[in-house]
Amino acid sequence: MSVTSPEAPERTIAGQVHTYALAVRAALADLPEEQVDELVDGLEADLTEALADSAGRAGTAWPGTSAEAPSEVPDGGPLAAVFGPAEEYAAELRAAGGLGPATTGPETRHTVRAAVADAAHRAADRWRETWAPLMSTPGGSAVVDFLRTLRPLWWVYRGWFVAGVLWAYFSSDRGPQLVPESLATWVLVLAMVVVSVQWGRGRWKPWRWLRGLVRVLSVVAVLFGYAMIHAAVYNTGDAFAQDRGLYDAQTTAPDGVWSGGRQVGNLFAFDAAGKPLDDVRIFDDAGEPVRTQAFGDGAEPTEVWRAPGTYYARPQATAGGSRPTNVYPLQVFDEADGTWDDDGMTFLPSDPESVRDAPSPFVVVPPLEVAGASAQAPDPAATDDPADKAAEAPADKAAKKATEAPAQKSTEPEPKVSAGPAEAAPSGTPTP
Amino acid sequence: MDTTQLLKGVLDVAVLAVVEDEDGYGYDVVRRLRTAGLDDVGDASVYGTLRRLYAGGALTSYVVPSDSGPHRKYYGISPQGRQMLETQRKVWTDFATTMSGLLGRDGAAA
Repeated sequence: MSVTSPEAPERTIAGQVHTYALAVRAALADLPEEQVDELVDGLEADLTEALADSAGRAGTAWPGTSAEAPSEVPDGGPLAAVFGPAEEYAAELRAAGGLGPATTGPETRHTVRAAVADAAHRAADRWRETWAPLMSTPGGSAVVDFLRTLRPLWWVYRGWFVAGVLWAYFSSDRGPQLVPESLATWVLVLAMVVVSVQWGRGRWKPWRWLRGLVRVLSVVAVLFGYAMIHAAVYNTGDAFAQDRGLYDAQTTAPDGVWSGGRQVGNLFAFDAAGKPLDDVRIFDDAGEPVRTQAFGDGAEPTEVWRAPGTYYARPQATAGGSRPTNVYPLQVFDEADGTWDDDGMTFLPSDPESVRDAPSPFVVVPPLEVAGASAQAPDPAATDDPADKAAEAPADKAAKKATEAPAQKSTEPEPKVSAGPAEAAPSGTPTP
Repeated sequence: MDTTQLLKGVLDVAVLAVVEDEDGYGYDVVRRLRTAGLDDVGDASVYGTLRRLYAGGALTSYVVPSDSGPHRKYYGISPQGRQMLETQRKVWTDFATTMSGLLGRDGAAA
């Protein structure tokens, strides 16, 4: 080892000890970092004290060993004189430590790489010394011990990170994912995790440069960890939300009335006798008026059962007057009879005369069995009403369903006075 | 007989024994061993043994900064280490008794 350097630290005991410790470290350079640390950590303190002891034994042969007054030491490596050559010292450490003999010669320590490694070790030493006061407290060392047991987690994360980078680079697919979604990603992630764990255990690092690469990778994995995890969480959350249609539910809360997954355009009520009811007001369980028109009242065409053409329901929002907004069946008008209001938001009937009742899908329905005697047999007079509401089609159906088949095909709305409950025409209902 | 050869076989249990009651740093352990009479024990052998016992879980380790100079790495015995020490004590006692009997008789006969 070289102790002829003119630098001042080299001539102090601490400098000598440090140089010797570095030489020992260099002789162990083929071992994994952690094993070297375990072997060499605290070595300088031990060497310093052993030196003091040996000086004490040797009388005045080794003066100035007090820590506060570092003194000059002669050339020729006094530590080597006491402890033997650093290489032999390292070999003894290694053998007693249960580690194999050196696989590379110590001559590499004169290279640039060794100089860089030495500088890194010094930086690491400084870093350790900075935190030593905190880490050496019982709490501090407990934290360090705890974190040390978490190292496998860090290895797994590092593997996952590298796999994520590779996947993002080589695949045109989506970015990193928290949990792999395809077989290929699984294979990649598992492979990288295995490699990372093996590295962490000090295996699979056949080339020296690989150790540097591992260190660089680790730093990158820390620095860009947040971005990677954030992207992965975002990707994963995105996929889940899309899979389950959560986004649709969140962005467009369904308004109006829905039944069997389909939006309801109109409602038709029948009494106990099976007869259709006009002008039924419907409220929900919260007491709110039920409105089938969701948004853009009157702006969306509505379907009229078996009636060709485009129809619009009379806008519930603008029912106006004394007519409430929840009266069913809704009245409709032909597209040709409508016009946009001044705002262009609402499609209104230009002629109130053109608004008529929407045809019911059923002229009559079977009466309830529990209904009173009056509902037992619908008389023809009671069922002639619905047919005239349809343009023409419902009448056909009525002809088949209702045996009396009035088939009064009327093209204009005629609120007939009948047995139905809609006897008094509401103000909003156009009257001929 | 060269005691260093004998030492190799018993260094583990010797190290465990000197940290059984009180934690110690590397050179401290060396000093205790020498004080106990094992003059020939090598510094680096002890340090290496400490490392190996620590890696095997028989010892715990923590670092304490020094007022002047580099920090010290202390070792303490773990429950596993205590168990190991107890086992080895019995083994040693049996062995030593056997050897004493063997060698003593030989010595008397000579």
